[in-house]
Amino acid sequence: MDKPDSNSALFDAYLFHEMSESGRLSFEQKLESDSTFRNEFDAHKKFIDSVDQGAEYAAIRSQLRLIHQQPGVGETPFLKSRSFYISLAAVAGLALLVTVANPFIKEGTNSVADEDYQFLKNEEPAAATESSNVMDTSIMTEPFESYNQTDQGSGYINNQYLKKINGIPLGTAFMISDDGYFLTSKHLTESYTQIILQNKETSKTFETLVVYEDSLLDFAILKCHPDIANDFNAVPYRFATSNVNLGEDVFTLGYPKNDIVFTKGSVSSETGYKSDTNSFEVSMPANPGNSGAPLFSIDGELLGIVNANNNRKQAVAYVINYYPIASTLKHLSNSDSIHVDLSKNKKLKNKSQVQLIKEFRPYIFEVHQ
Amino acid sequence: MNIETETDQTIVLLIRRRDPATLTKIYKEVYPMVLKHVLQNSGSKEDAQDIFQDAFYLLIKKTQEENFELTSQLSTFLVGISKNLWLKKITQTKLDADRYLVDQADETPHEVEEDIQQLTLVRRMNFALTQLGEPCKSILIQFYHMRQTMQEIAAMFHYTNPENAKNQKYKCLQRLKKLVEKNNG
Repeated sequence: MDKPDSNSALFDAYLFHEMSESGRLSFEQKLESDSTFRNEFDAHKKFIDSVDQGAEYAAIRSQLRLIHQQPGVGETPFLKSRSFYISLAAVAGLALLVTVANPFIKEGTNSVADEDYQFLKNEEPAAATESSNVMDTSIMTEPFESYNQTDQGSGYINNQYLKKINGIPLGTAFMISDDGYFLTSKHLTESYTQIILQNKETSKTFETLVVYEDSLLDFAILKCHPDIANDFNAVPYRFATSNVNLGEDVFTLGYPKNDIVFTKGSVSSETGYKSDTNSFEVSMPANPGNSGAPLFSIDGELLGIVNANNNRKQAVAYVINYYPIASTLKHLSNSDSIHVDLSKNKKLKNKSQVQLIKEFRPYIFEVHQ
Repeated sequence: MNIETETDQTIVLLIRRRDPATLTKIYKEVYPMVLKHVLQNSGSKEDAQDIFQDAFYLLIKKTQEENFELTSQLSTFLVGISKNLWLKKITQTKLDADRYLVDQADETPHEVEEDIQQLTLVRRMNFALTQLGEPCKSILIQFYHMRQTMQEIAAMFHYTNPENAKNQKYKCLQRLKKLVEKNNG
């Protein structure tokens, strides 16, 4: 034990009460009698306190950043207020333009985006808006105008259902807990603060807020108004409790077109693009619009989020593993900002694939901007 | 809830707990004042956001102190800290310091130097944790901040047993120490 810091494990055992009564007593005796040991202990304690403080700082800043991004909190007063200089308003306007234009140029700038790695986002909605007339534009503007009225109380987003959208969805999202949380791909949501979800089967079209985005795992958390969440029953799928198995049969439900599409495949590699360990590979056809779709095991466990395909390989889809996402969700729940409670979700057993799909469908949504 | 009429004790408690609705309300009311001040004093929107969130962090930390009492209106207090932080920042970078609008006569003096020292420390640690990368960063945060047990951490990060997770945590901590030393030196 002559290396400095080699007592770290011992110190932690003492500080986090993992020592037996006798161990604790002899430890305390050593602290009293051995001043080198004492100094080393104090330095360790000081350092881990600073880790604790640094982590708290990060958690608070990230909570404040999310608050800042809420409509009407950080940005809107700036755009609305006339007391600011015109030049500044112009700058803000420009920033807004850049953000809106971004999804179309951003594709190549993603950190993992090599040429053959292709996100499964639908790039057609612009064309779809042209063909599907005035109704779409009214939907586009409605949520923006309604912020002021829905501002009171707990809800900061629209608690009303919107008109049906006929355009081609950007991709897919799915509910994870009936208190109103949804998961989707980050590359679909980035540059938007709100996203519209639609399920035509249950005639639901509503607004959600992008409450969390994770660049590393390319997923985003969306939240709808509690009034809308009230209309849902417990989410019917379980969440994976073990890693995926090579050769395991899987299926997904997504929106590569205007209607929900079922696709089946099997796990072809336990790692993803360029052996990324946060994702895995499935041999199944995946098309633009499948991004953000849930991938299920054959008995209905959620395994991950469909993310991309490989344009140099036939029928390969990359899926982000649910595991690292789960630990992020847990972390967020602990840090007080986003509470996703998965404990109420239903656990279906011994159902056929057709029965499972019937149960799942109402919880899987088209993503519209 | 009106942040100025709510009793001080209640609001301090809500801030300490980081109650989302309370923090949002305060953010919404006070941020525009800080934004205006920073923009008028050669800063950008991003500067304003950064300074204000650091000031807000300090406010939350202060409410955790046992004998903390609000001595002025909450908004005045928070704007005061923000202004001080901004003043410090522009004098440090020698950025138009002489053009700074001195309108601080009504401010209650805060422990500015202490605040800044505290911020420097946590910002440095936060930076080092980011440099450290995953899974080390999350393992250390889960253990030392979220106070998860090694059993829970082992399950969360797929270690076959808590001993393996413990070894990994030890290595992560050593690497973090080296990073902090390197950044400071």
